Amino acid sequence: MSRVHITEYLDIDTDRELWLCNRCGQELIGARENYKRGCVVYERDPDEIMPPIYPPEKTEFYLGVSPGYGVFVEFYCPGCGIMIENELLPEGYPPTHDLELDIDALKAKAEQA
Amino acid sequence: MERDDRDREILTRWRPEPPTERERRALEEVDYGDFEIYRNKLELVCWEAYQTFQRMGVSPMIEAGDAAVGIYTRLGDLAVGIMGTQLHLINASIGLKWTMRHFYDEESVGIREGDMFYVNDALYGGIHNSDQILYMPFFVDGELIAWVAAASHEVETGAMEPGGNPPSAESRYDEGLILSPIRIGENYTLRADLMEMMENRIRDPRMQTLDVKARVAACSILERRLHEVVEKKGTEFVIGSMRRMIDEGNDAARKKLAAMNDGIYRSTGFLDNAGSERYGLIQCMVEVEKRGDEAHLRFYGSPRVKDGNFNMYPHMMVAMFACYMYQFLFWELPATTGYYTPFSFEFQKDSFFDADEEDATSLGVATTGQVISLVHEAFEKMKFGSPYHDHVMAPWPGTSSTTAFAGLSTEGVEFGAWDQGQPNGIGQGARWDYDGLDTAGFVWCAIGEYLDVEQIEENYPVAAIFRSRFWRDGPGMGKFRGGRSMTGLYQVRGTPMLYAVVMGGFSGRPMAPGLFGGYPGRPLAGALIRDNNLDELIEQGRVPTDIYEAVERLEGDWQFTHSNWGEEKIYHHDCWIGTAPSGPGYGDVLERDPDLVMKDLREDALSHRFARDIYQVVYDEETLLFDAEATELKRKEERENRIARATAYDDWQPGWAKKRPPERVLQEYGFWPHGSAGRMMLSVEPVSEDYLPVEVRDGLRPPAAGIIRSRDL
Repeated sequence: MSRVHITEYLDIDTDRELWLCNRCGQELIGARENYKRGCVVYERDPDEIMPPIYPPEKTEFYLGVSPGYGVFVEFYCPGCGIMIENELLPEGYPPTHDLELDIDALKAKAEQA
Repeated sequence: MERDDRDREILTRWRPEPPTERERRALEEVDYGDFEIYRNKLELVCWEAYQTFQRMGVSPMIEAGDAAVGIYTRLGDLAVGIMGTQLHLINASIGLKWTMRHFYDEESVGIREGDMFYVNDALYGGIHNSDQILYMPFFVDGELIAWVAAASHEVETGAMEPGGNPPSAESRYDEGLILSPIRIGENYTLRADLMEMMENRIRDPRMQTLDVKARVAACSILERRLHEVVEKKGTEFVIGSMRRMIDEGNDAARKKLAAMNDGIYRSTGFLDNAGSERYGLIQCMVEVEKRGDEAHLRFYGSPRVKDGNFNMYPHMMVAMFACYMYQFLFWELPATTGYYTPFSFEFQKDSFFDADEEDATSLGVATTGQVISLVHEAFEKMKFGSPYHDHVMAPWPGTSSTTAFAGLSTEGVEFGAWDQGQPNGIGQGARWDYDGLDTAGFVWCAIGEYLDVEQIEENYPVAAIFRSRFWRDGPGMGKFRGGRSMTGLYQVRGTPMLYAVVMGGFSGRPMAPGLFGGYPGRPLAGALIRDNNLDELIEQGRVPTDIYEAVERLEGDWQFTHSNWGEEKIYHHDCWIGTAPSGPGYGDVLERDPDLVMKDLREDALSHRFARDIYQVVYDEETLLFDAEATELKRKEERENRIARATAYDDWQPGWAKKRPPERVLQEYGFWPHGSAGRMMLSVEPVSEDYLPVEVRDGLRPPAAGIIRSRDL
């Protein structure tokens, strides 16, 4: 198996063309897919991470995420629960397909190595 | 509306021009050993000019070192420079090229030894009109060989509101002094009539004149030192060396890009305002397609905002790319325009990247400062899987905000200013192996200084109550947290009234994402506190020392403001709060070393609630000693809880897709959810290989001498 480290928490198995969790080796999804589809997802209230500093009853700009401006969408490895990525998205906005690697080029590079 | 008499094609010439025959021949004269020695010498020359510029200037931006100087080829390409503010060096190149194209043969102007040109109009190669560039031609024996330039930001431009970047501006005619390229000096002497014109037009004439002179001093040093090199090594050596610097930049950039994984890297972000009192979500999508040794950047999905000070021209974003590129992609290499050669750019038409010529764009630079964090994220994801993995870091948190104020100074003279500590007090993104740097500068300039409080209190009728405490709980959390930033409390003292604006920031949500599971830092917001009890608190010895104590102790008439807010009058004893953004985090919070969490608690960087509930550390709040075994167990439980409360993506997505933000935040958005994606794209490429006639390009005829003066007759 040829395993290439791609991000802090993601590897690609170039032989089997699979995204893997770097920490536990869990197989997520095909390497030509959006790896987020192989994760489990949780919506987190941003006030848990950035509770208001100014009084929210007096201003919407309270040094946190204003109501309506987004929630944290957290992507975890289904095997070990590590947070692979998160996005602060307006509700309903599609998650970003952030990594679309040229798998053929990656395989050729791995073979050369 | 676009005027057909403006030269928009010149704005596409940010890449180095192809070498001239003269440059090709001169390259053969350059011995490699000598080249290395003199490349270093020219860099040192630029440092000398930069430091002189910084010491002579009085604008808070120049005093803090947010400035740039550079030496350019005859055709206007950056050979070597010191930055300072990286984007200045790129847009100065466009101003020089405009001057070559339009003044070289223009009998009423011409280009002569000792000339001093000035530009600050974005449509002529500037970025925004507060960024002002002075540039001088370099002649040897009557032949134009090179150019030198010095650029920095003025905090006052005579616009409709003080501070140089008026948040309420709706068109370019609201933005104050805007100059197309103009000769403001000749025979090495500034012209008194044109200096009077500048002084007459703005609120702080003293600052304008002193800063123009500081630019002249920087350019004069560059010119004098270049003459010394010519005397020692000859003209051909200087011409050939400048070309080699650019060519080597190109080679080095391509080599680094080729070592990274091919593919498409994307980032999506949401700005939260289009100017003062125009708040809501504005989408931006960035895509970097890397193949071999080249990369193509696309910017799309965004609306064009009518009548707001928010839009930009494409070359402004191209120049902003320098701030990422020189800081994070080619950090170890000397600055030249050569690195730009492998890159190409495309922008969606009719988006905020494609401003109308009538638009206000002075805060378009703040927009570029937000969008660059998305470019940063996309490239860092590319870097991680490359040999440059050990330089990966989360983005700067986006642009900074600042509170600009104007009125009469402590000496009774008109002024416009701000505390440069606020924009330069930003925390950098977390690194892959450690926390981000605290108060590290800002996205445009990583070497800008956090000026001492005296810079404010000695010059202006303002007291800084606190401004040197890091913002606890401000940084993005993660395996490594973002760098900490400043917050400040200021009070008007010793003057009846000042005008103030808050400009450039984001308050509804953070702009820059964390990296690989790290959280972003907090967004910004200001506050005015009128009729307050600060004097009583001072008497009681209960002066607030950070933002939390200010909120708790300061009583009065609180007015909370977005960090992009139009003009307010503030009176004697009124207070305001300013905030700078902290850096985004890197990696999963559950992987943060508990030792670092305890260190954060000891240094007042973190509250117990986050140590306990987010970092999941088991520890004694009195002793700050943690239990390693219990912490490991608690974190294991939390990872299991995450899996238990989360949903498989394909089960989660249909319900999520049915949701929609409230209409009040979609006023500027366009079509939900994809905004304006799918429209025509605008490629920023020159239409011709040469921008000058061959005889001008190759120096076969000299520039026009300009209007013949009486003493020449």
